[in-house]
Parts: sequence; C-alpha cells; structure tokens
Amino acid sequence: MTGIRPTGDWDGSTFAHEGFTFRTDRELIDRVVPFVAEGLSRGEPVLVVAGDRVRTLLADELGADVSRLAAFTAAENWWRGGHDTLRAYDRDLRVLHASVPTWRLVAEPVWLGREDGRKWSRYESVANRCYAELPYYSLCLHDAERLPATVLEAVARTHPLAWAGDAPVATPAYQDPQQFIRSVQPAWGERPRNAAVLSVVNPREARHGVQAWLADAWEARADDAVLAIHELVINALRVSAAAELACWSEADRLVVEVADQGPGLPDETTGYVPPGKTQEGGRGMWLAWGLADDVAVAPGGTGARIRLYFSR
Amino acid sequence: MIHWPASNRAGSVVVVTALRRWYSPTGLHPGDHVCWTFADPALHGEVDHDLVDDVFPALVDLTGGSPGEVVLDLTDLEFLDAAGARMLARAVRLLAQTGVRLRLIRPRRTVSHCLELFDLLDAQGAAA
Repeated sequence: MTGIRPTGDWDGSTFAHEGFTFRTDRELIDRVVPFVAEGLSRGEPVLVVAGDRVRTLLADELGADVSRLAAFTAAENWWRGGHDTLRAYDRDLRVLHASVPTWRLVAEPVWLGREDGRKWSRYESVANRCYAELPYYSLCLHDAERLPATVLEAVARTHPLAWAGDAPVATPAYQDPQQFIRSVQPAWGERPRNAAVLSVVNPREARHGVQAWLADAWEARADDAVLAIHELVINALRVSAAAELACWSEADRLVVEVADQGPGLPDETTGYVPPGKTQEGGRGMWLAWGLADDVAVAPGGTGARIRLYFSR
Repeated sequence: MIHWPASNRAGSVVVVTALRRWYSPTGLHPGDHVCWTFADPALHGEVDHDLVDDVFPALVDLTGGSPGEVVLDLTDLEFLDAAGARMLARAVRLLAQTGVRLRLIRPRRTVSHCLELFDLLDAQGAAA
C-alpha cells in the first residue's frame, strides 16, 4: 500500500466528502484502515458509524486501535427519517466543531437500503453546501452487494470525491445540490382540473381553509399538512399580497400547492438545511419540508410554487 | 392574576389565545386537605406569527414574578407555528436571566415539532 494518500491534499480546514463503494471485504479494508490510521497518527478524532458487517471487519483489522477511536458505533439505529436524522447528525457535528479543530468520519448510511431511507441522497447532496466550512473529512461507505443500482448512481452525483485506488479524486458525475434535488423531486405537472383552489391574504384564513378541505379524507395527516402549509403561506405573504392554495389527491397521496407572486425562492435547497442554533428566522421551510413526505419546487415561472406531498 | 395583551390586533381571538391562571377546587394539599391552589399557567388556542408580539410580554409578565421553576401547560394549545416557538424560546432565555426556569409541559405532537426547532424538548421528547 505504499504511496497511498488516504485523504489526498485535504489539509483539515474544510469539508471533504467522499463516496466509496465496495463489494469485497478487501476493498473495504484497503480503503478504510489507512484512512483511520492516518487520522490517528495525526491526532485527529476518528469516528466510525457503520453497519454490522463493516464494524466487524474493522474491529478485526484495527485490533487494539479500536479503543483509540472517538466513536465506534452502530449505524442501524440512526435512521429516524431524513430531517430528524440530519438534525441529530448536525447536532453532533456542531459539538465536535466547538471542541476540536478537525476530525474525520467513516460513515455508512445503511438506511439507503430501505425504501424510506433512499431520500437520504438529497441530504447527502445538501451537506456539500451546508457543511462546506466545517473542517472534517467524511468517508461515506456504500455496500454494492446490498444497495440497488439507483442508490449507487446517486452516490456518484452527491459526493464530490471518489476513491481512485491511491488517493481521492473529483467525481465526474457530481452535481450541484440544487441540480440534484431538482432531478429527484416529483415531476412538476399541471394541476388536475378538480383541484380545490383558494386565494388567501392571511395565514389563519389559509389554515382554516385547509382544515376544511382535509377534515374527512385526510384527517390523519391534517395537523402536519396544516402546519406545513401555514409556514409556506407565512413566507409567501412576506413577498406577495396574496397566496394561492391548491389541494388535490394523487394516487394515495395528498398534494397541496402554495404559490405566490414574489421573486421566487432564492435557494431551493433551504428546506433541507438544518437551521443554525443561533439563527433567529428561517425555520419555516425546514419545518414544512420535514412534515411532508415529499416536496417539489416549480422549475422557473413567476414567483415561488411549492408542492407538499403527504402519504396516508 | 390575568395579564392581557396591551393591544391585540386579532380582535376576538384574544379570548382563545390569552394566558390564564385559575384556581382549582380539586388541588390536594400534602396533608390531604382539600384546598384551593394555584394551577399552572397555560397557553391555549392558536398562537401564531400574528400574535407573538402580544403574547410574549404577557407571558413574561405572568411567569417572571419569582425565581424558581414555572410550569407552562400546553395541553390546550391547539396550534403553534415556528414564530410562536421562537417567541417561547425567547421567553425561556429572558426568564432564565432572572432566575426563572420556564418548563413547558404536555405539548401536542405538532406543537412538539415546533418546540424541537428551538431545542425546547428534553431527551424523552417531552417539553423541557
């Protein structure tokens, strides 16, 4: 393994985000063990959060060095939905950032193998933007034997770095977070003709209108939908005299659209970015995105148009 | 002791959003004597973006009297938005400076979502 540079030119001052896909035990060990050893030799905290297979292999290879890791924990229990998982991750990152100058992380998001965990690729993408200033290297592991091809394809589009055998290199397929999220959100089609439509000028009116729409068929999701829509209406009325609400059912999903005549969303990824602890405002979109099961933002056009999807 | 917002732009909404403190005839004294005790102050109705500027001073006036823990019952709070939760976080911070620990209890699920945005929930998911 002579000549291997596990973190390439990374100087520990900014975020480095690598997607590593492995099939065999050997591939995994050859990538991760030098990465861990380099971190320990530099005195950096090294954290490993991974699935059972990876932890068993690493424990065998690292031997007594396992006790030198700042964390060596199971990833299986981490998944609690996209927003809550990222929020927990974000809290841990902020604690680390307050206590050490740099660190490195080996992370295996095992939940990507679950149907409801695939949306994690959006958060991986947005991490490149919201953690750009944090001084850590995140080596994200993906077991090609377990994960479907669509997830592995998304790994290449959401991680700016990949492993070239002796050093990390830029990933050719990597996409800007906004571009990636546009490509995976629900397609933006015309509203159905039977959509209920309401023009509102205050949030209370919007809430009560939506409550009336959802009272019977969507009662179980009504509280989530009302709160999420309220937050979008608040934002819409900051930039527009009125907001337009539309609501319809699509297969087994409720769709609610909030549209305004303002300047449009300055950043379509905002709803995926955890608000900072000391940040006063800006939590409405994070809240709405987290309450909904899926979100789509209209590509182009006048004003902002956002659709929230709620499953039964 | 009831503090009403000095001005309320929402008219009749004041009835459902005001803070209240009432006497309970069922409160039990440690000596098992029935007595009249102060119940916890409570928020109820809908506290949203349009009301936070009125509710904030009322809440601080009502709960800021004496150092120690004050419990704010959220059982009947039907709706809270991110702005309302921000107001509560601001009240918690301000009161803490005067030695009052404002503890929020029994929030509904969607109210909890908003409280969580400002770390107002404890590890068990109850309001901290």
